[in-house]
Amino acid sequence: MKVRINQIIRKRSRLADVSERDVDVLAIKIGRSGASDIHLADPRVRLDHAVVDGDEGRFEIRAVGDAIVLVDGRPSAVAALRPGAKISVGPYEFRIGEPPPGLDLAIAVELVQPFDAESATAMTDDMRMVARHLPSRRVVAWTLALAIFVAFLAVPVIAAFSPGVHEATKAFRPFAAWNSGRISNVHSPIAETCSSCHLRPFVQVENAQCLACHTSTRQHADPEIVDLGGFRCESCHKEHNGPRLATRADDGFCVGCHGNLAKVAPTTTLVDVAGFATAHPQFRPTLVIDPIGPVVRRVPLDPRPTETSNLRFPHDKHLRRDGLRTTAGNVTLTCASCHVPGPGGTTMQPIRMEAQCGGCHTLAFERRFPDWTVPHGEPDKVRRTITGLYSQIALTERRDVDRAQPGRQRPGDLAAEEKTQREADQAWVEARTEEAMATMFGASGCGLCHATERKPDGWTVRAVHVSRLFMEKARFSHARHTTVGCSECHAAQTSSTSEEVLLPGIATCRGCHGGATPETGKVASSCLSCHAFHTHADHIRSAEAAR
Amino acid sequence: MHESFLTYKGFLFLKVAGLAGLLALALYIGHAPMDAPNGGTWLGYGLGTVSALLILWLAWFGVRKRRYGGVQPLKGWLSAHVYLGSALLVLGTLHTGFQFGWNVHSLAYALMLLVIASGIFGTIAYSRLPRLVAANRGRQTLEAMIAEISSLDRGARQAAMALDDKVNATVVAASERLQLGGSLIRILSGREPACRTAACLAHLEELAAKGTLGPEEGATLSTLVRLLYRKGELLHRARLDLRYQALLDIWLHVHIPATVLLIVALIAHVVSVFFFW
Repeated sequence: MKVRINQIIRKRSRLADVSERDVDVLAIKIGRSGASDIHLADPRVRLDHAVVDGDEGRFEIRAVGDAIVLVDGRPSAVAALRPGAKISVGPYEFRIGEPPPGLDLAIAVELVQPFDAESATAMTDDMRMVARHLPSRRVVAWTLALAIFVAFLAVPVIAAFSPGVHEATKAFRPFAAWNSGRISNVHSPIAETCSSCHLRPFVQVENAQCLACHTSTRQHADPEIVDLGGFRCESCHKEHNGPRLATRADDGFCVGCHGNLAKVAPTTTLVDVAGFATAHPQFRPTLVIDPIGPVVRRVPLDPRPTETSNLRFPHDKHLRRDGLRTTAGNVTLTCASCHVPGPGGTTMQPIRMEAQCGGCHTLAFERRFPDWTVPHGEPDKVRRTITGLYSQIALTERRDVDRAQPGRQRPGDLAAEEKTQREADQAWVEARTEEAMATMFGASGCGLCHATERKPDGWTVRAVHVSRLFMEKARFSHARHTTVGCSECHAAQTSSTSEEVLLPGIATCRGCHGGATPETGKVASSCLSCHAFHTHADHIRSAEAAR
Repeated sequence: MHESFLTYKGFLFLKVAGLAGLLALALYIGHAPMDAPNGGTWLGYGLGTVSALLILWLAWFGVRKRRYGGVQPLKGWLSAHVYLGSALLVLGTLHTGFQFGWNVHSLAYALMLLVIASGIFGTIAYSRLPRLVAANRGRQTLEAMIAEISSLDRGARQAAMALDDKVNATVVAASERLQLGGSLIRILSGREPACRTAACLAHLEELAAKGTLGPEEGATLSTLVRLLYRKGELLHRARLDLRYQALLDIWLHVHIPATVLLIVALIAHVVSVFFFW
């Protein structure tokens, strides 16, 4: 077969350069191989890609093996070559034309899809930039910035000024993100209402907001002596620091004024203090210094003061280690036999005659009637009680005795006899009563413990005055010191008179308590361990109102 | 001698930053507020004010850097930016008093950490990578590497033309598309797990090992192997180069937007604190 092959090479100018040759072969081999009749120098073409053969004007193209040949766009293993047909072999296009005279076939071959690797390697700079893979910096920044601005600034600020907006945004808790920390446990009920405390924007929380609820909080000091009105509640009570309300509790705060009171409160009677361990004055308990009045005064424990209470009570006699002989046998008393902690454990309950003393010290006055006792603390009723008993005896026992002597009876003179008998009884009752009164109020009765006096109008007992609260400026709790024995602080075992004040001095406390920064082995004790702050009688509110 | 921004004036700003950090730390340790340490004590307000002003000044560097005009070098500024920015880590952290929560205050702090962390990344990148970039490139630019890869591809395709279809197909696959870049993760890794050039090379080496080829084909094959080996080496260097460029670039995509966010959050933080004082 004689075939004309036109290989067309198109340049950039679009002008085709055609190389024309005629071959005369049995079959036309098409492929990348150098031995091919139509040599297609492109890596996408197989070494032996296709074959064209046939005769008598009927020619066919056959793909070799599984090589792909497209005829008019459709893959075909075998296809007849008709003039006008378009055949694709890899990137080449074969066009079949009318054969010139003397030839069997005319084939035009053109590379229509040049190998594109060059353009692939000419990678743009853009592809290498990280920015290509990320959203625009500017878009990210401004979008998120706007979100932060709206959510955390605009909405809360508008909500603070506009109740309507606040109501509308309530579900989103617009101020939640402004909360710098958890509110204290005691203030939890108002935690969600910022305006409970923060009333005016850009103004610090005012005392009035605190006092709206804290209506009974007391002043620290008498405003006449020192004016503390300039202080803000918040300067000592800090919020938004977690479940515990932070309260200023350092000694420095107290010592700032109490270290040199003359400077801030020249008229005060308080003594300067600079710390418990070294610079705290001796305790000054409130004592009854004169039972007439009575006159009470804070007296220092150095030198040991005496208290005039009008009571005689020798602790040592009651606390004998070998016990006390009583009607109920031998009894050994301890402190707790008489001293019972009061509610809360701070102070002891008052001593009552009936409860604490009556077990041994009976108020009976007639041996034959031990249950017939006089009431304690009511001298007026004492005489009536005694007279009552002897009148009863006179009415019952004496008359019976007299009637047993019939020889002395004179019949018909009963009324006169009765009269004489009654006068005798009255005289007897009177005599016995006087006798018993003298015994009762004497040194073996009331006088054992009390100061008694016989006055023209009768016996009197001087009123007893014992301080109910010795340390009125401090808070001492017996309940918190139960691991310490009574006698470690109170020298009752060796105290023989009730004039002695059995309170321990500061040295005793310092045995365990070492101030705010104690030495090793001692308990840290700040001012507030024993003293409270808001202790003045006046409420803050009244002082604020007065101002 | 070249002086880097890190060693500027004998570490002047490192010393300033170190002193500021130590001073803040000493004050914080000595500070015993009645409540827990927090941003609202006198020290808290002090550290907060200094930190906020420092943030604005540090951010101003970004504006200044983009301004033309003025010939004074920014090396001193950069040195101060880097070291004082690191000191902010100490000042800002102590300002918080270690009180954190889901609020705008901790948001500002977190953004500050993000800015500082990305800045430290950038500092390390700029102090280490340029040397690695130079060593990796040798005397070739990335464009020159790509051009050489391209010509090696052409040579390989030419050489493979006479070889078996199967071999040819792998060579074409390896050379028709430049496997460089791609996804961000791929760029940052500096690797190409499905490298066709490496696969082709392995295939050719396997073929050569079999020894079933004629002398002419064998010679072509060894030429091809040489070409592809060189290409593989160039590809590796080009990928490393892209990786280094990406590392030098990527932190700014965090540093700058986070700075903008930080400034907005900082404003919200300051306003909210004093709004509800």
